[in-house]
Amino acid sequence: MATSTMRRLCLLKVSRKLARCSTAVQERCALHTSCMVSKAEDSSSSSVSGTSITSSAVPDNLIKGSMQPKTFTKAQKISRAMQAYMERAQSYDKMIKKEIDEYDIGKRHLANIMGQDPDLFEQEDVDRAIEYLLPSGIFAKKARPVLKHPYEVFPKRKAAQFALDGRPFHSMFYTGKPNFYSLLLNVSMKIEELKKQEDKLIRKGLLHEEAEKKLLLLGSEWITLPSLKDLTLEPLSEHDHKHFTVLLGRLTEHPLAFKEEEFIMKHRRKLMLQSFAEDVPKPMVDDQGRAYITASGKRKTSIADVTVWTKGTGKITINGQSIQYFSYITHREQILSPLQLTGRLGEVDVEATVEGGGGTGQSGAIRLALAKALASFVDTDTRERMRIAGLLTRDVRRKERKKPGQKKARKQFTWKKR
Amino acid sequence: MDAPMKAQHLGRSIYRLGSLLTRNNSVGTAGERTTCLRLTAKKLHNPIGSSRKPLLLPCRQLSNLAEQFQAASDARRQPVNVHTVFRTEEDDPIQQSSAQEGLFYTVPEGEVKRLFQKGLSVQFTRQVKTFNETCFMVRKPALEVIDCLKHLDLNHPAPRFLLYGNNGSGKTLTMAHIIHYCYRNKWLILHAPWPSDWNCRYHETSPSPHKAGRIDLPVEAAEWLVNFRSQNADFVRDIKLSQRYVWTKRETAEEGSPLNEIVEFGLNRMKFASDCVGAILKEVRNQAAMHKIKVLVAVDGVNAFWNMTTIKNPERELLTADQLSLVHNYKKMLLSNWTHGAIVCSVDAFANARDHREKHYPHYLLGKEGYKWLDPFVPVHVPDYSEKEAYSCIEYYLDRNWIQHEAAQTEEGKKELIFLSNRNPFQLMRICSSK
Repeated sequence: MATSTMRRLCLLKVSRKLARCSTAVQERCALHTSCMVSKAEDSSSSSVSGTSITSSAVPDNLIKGSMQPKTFTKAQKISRAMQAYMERAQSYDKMIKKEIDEYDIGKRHLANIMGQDPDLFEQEDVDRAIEYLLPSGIFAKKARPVLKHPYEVFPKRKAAQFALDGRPFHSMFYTGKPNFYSLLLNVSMKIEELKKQEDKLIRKGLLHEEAEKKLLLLGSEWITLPSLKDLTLEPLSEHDHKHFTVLLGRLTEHPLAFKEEEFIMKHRRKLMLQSFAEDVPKPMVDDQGRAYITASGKRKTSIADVTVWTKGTGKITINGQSIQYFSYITHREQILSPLQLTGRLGEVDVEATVEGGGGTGQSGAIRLALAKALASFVDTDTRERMRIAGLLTRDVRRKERKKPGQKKARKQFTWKKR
Repeated sequence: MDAPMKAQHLGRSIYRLGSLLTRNNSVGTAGERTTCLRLTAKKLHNPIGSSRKPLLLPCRQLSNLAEQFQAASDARRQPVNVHTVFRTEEDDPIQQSSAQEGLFYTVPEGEVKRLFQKGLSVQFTRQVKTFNETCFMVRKPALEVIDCLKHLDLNHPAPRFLLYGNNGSGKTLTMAHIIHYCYRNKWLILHAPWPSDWNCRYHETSPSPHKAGRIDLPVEAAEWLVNFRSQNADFVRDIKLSQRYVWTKRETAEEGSPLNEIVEFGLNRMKFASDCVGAILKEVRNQAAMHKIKVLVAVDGVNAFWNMTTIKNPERELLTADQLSLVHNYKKMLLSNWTHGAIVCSVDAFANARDHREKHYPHYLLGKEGYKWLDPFVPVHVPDYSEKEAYSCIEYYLDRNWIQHEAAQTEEGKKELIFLSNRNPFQLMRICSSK
């Protein structure tokens, strides 16, 4: 929205300078962008033969008849470049407008097909309708059919940066990253402002009153480099991002930073709070008064079901055998890890049935199932530690497929010259 | 083992426990503290031989002699942690009882040289070389068999004991312990360390000069003779032959000459070594009762006697083990038709071919024929380590500086080792070393 107004403004300036149009035309231009641009084209084409703006007032027939050679001044050349630039911008606008129209029509069609009110048909409804009407089994979600607003589909572009006379609008245009540096300037101005305010308060001796108000930054972090790029629409480097965070950090450290909370929070991203899942199943109790629980786990192509009993002697049974079911020590260590982390080694009895896959998969599946089961017996802190250790997370890695023309997934055949 | 290899071993052990330390740092530190205390207690009050340096008594200011005595008696009364005692001074198997169960005793080097030139596993021999001492753990199955041997009525037919158990549970070392007892108790020992080697790892074969259709293994027979001579140095001189043996027209062993003569002849003329083994076994069997000699027949992996060999006859058919003259003669010793002796055998899955190793029970491993041959026998189960034995073993390794990581001193570390090995002696040995 902001960009389009900006563009309109700039075009207004262009038309003012070149064509000196009447105020009525200007108003019309402001309302209809495309019309305005065409006007600007007209005026520029009319001024081709004239050297100055005043010459446009001379009738055309007089100029045609004159014997002056056709040479272009520097300013004229620049304005020709401007014209091309403007044409490009215009065609983009046209395209977007067309796309938006098509999107609106498509949305209405979809609403009609689905038997819903077209005016109340939202993007969510569109997605649902597409999924229903064009069901796709394609694995990659990006490759499935979609209908989205053109603003989401086509990459955003910066509005015109400079006027037809070749002068940039932005004072920082020649830094290469005007939006970014103006943001930094803005921040440093704010810091200076806060310093002034602080001095004032110190002079009045009122600073201690503000001491209690603090800026709470917990649960959020600075926006990432890609988001910053989106915000400024400029190519930024890691170094720029660091510069940005350091400067904003300086602002937040100021005792009066809470006054700029709105500005600061605009450049921070809220962190999602981990749900401290309280939905762990409760253990059951058997005839002998021992609590027990069953859980299942997967890894690669193996599936394991594990039952854990409390008040045990540390007996491990895997498919009717002892821990020696696994001949590799690394696989035994997999089963050891959840027991050791929870400190239940030698205290619980474990019975596991596992099928499919090989040693690595089976031991991994048992580890996950065992950890899930043990989570029911431990307190929240330990459960959180288990989660952080990755014991409660399914390992989603799979075997990579073999490629044709290669020996394995990555390995290639021996290269032979001929 | 050379120095770099040992360093590698140690490195591996450290690595294993390193993972443990990083995993629960907080637990590790707490455990360490308690261990330090316990070790101090052990050093102070361990009455049984430990190679650790003695620690000074706590330096408390004691005013008079009475107080000093009081302090000393208090210190003595504190209970000794059972887990930290792992070694016993009682190195005579005759004197050992269930009080020493789970503890290690040292076998003197001379006896090891004499008795166990063969008959200990490669891994154990390597460990012995590294530790610079041979230690056996006093375990229940060995004590049971030794107790039976102590109370044996020698005038009855020779009883048969059959050791069986999981792979790596200590059958061979139990047998070694029994052999050591018998040696100390002046028994004559007929030890076949691993007859499975006769079936498939033979050096050369030759047809038997004594009986057509039988195969001799000259090198294996000579090895057995050497082992027999070193194990029974006293007996070979004393026992006299009861009959005349004619090897060839010119070479004979006269009646009344010592047994030594046959051994020497067998070693010089390897062609007749297998027949010499048969002659010795026959002489021992016949004379045991007559001369009041106590005879122990020890066979490790006895199920090899009823297996197929990899030797082919001229018709290109595989031979069975009893077509070997060595096996044929030895099988006669397993029959209970002689007195003044005992037979201790073990069945081992590894003596079987690869596709017949599913179970470790005698009935499965011996097969119908073998079971019939040995029946009736006393089955002796050799179980994996008990908790006490496992802790004792880890303490022994720690004492030998075999496990150097400090986490192994903690309760957590020991529990981890026990869990990973499932208390199986061989597994524990492997986990604590690099192999």
